[in-house]
Amino acid sequence: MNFRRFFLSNPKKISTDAALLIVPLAALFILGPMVITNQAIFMELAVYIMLADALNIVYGFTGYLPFGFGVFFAVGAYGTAILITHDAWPVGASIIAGACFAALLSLLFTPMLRLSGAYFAISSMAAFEAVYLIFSNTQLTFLTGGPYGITFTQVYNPNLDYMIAAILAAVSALVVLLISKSTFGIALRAIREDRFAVELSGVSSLRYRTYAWLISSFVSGIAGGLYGWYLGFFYPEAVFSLTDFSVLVIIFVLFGGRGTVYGPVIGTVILFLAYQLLSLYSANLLLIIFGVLLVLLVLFIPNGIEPLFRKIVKTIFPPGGSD
Amino acid sequence: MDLSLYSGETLGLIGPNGSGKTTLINVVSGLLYADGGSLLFYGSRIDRMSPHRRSHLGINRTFQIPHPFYGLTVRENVDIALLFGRMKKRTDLEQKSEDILKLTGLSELSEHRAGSLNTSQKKMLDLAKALATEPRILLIDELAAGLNSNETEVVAGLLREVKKNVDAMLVVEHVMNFIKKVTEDVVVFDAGKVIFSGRFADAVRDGRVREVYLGTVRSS
Repeated sequence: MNFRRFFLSNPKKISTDAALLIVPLAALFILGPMVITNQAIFMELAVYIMLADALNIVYGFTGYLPFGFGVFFAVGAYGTAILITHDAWPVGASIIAGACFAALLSLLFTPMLRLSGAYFAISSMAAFEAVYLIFSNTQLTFLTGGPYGITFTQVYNPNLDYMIAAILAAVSALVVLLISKSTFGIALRAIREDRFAVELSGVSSLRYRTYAWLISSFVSGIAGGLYGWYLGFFYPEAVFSLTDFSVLVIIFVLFGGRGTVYGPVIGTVILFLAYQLLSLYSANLLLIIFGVLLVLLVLFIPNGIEPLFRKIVKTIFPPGGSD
Repeated sequence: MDLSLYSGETLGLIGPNGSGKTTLINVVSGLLYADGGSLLFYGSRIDRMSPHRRSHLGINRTFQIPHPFYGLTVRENVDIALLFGRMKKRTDLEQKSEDILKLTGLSELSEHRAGSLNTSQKKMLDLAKALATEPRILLIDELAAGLNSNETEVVAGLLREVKKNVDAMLVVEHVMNFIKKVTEDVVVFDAGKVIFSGRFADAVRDGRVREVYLGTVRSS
């Protein structure tokens, strides 16, 4: 019934956009590790692109900022790890199931969607802390490893993991592209503009925000599963990190341009690589620099650098011809 | 208060500031829930129904302060209402959207961002969005406020046109000249109560209505 509204209303130009997303990403993930011979950096980059796209779906399109959004990433990682360790599930199935756990958890949190603005942001942070305390609890050591972490090195395969993560990073960018071109995406943007008036246009604001929330948590869960698999062993703090998997991602998305298709990818690539470079020289200053950057972004370029990037592309490839 | 709106009727709703006109529209369109009483739409109760479901049923409105989706284009604003509103078939979407934009005088601006429109254009866009959901009952909240007499004339003509496509219309207005042009039947509100119901011409002669608008009339 309502799912027909997910279909494209305007399939024009979508292939150009898709190519503009996939080709540079493919080049980056294939050539990158040859230039900087540290695959882990590019693995993390792929994970961050997925997270940025996931955040963009809920924050960028609907305007709802879940500060504790990293909880779905962590649950994805744990779900994967637990199924592999305890039930010896194959990795692929474990990752998908882990992402389903994340999506289920997001369903549990849907009452929060009735809140808005700062209340929503803060309640999502509280939810994050609550779930973190459950997973790291010593009482649950038999299942989650509690504070001692969880090991599942038996399936360790970083090269395969990297390949899958790189492909899925591109897929998540495509998902954002499809949403932005669909009637579903237009409804989400209208919700961001005015969540009361949108109801009068016949859009159930709560239902569409829930869809966005579900998709976002599922993508985050996949990213978490892939990341956990790459680590092979992790402490709760490694995946339940508010700074690393919530705040940083928010900065990446804001920097790139929230609610845009290219913004989160561009923002993540530029800032994540800058972050890696900076961490070589002054690891202590990193968070200060990124904190200041966040404030400056919100104050001066709330739309991110995507519009600038668009201008540059237009200058290099003037419209007309293939565009 | 007890108020009925009949099929085929255009009812003008007037009353001083704070008399509850907009509150009534908010309650009927679902943005506010009433503390008590009941709200019936073609015989069925809709008191607790969410606004989007009321929109699907065929209740829609415009706002005194317009509520377009600023970041979207004028056409996208209308298309959302067409896609998610009452219209079931999407085959003639483009034609429909063209017709509505033309009717409300927004065709030229269809690719502009809604945020760049002026106030009277935004009001027209509000009306266009409401019309796109194919309402059976249309609630108009002060569409003529702030318009000059020329524009008022045009908008009154537009509403008479719109009336042909809806079952009933409730028009809240401060500008008496405008009400006169749109309908003869009025209800006068004061402090949430209906103090007069009847012909516009009689309303201006009614003692209580005069009292509410002009203050106490001394009996000579």
